Amino acid sequence: LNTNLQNAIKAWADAEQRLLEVHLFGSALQVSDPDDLDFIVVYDRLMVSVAEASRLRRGLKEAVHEVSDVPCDVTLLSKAEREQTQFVSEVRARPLWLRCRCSSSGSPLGRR
Amino acid sequence: VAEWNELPRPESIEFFEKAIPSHSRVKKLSRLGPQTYEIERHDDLPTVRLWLCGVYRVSAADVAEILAEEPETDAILTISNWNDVTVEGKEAGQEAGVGVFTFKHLMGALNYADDKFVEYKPPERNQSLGGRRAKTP
Repeated sequence: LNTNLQNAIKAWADAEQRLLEVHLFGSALQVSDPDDLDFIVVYDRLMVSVAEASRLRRGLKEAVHEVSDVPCDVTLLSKAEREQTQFVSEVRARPLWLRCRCSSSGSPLGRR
Repeated sequence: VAEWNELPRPESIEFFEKAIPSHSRVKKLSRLGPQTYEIERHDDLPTVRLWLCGVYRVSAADVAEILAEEPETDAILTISNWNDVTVEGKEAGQEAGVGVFTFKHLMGALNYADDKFVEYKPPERNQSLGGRRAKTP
């Protein structure tokens, strides 16, 4: 992904408190000018209702469309669905953004 | 990768439109919209209003969006052999009285009504006895 697009996704994800992970998969991992962009967005069902989660899908699409004309599709999974389906590893998705996970002392372990 | 509101591939639609009318319980298949179909059945089985999609993994969020778009939906089908439904997607459908199926599961469910339709899961098949999965494009 070009830097503009990566920055747009990161800015959107940083501002979206209820989001856990954003992954990229498909042809965009292989070629520099893909026909489309395929994302996986993972949310926490304890924090977000299923109906509200749909807004995450629209939000990512809007963020992408502000800097790119390439169409994008978003697979929206709860954390439990991500673990149950193994979809992320099945399609060999690459993480673009992961929410910071804190240690017991509260210090951040990092954010990509 | 298709989303819930995107048409499956043309060959998948063609397969669906040929396969469903060949089911012994199906009297008539009618297309009501780009992704909505009505399946009339024999033997007093209720008519099914179906949403057809090509989502890789139908999640609970997909089910919620489809039902917000088409509240009258009785069944959601994700076609193509490699597609599937998450456990939460199946449960979200069941809570709303909607069956969420892969093609193979839908073909079994069409023999039933009510909860048995919505909750239908095919019997486990013993591969050593030569069981084969239905091939869908």
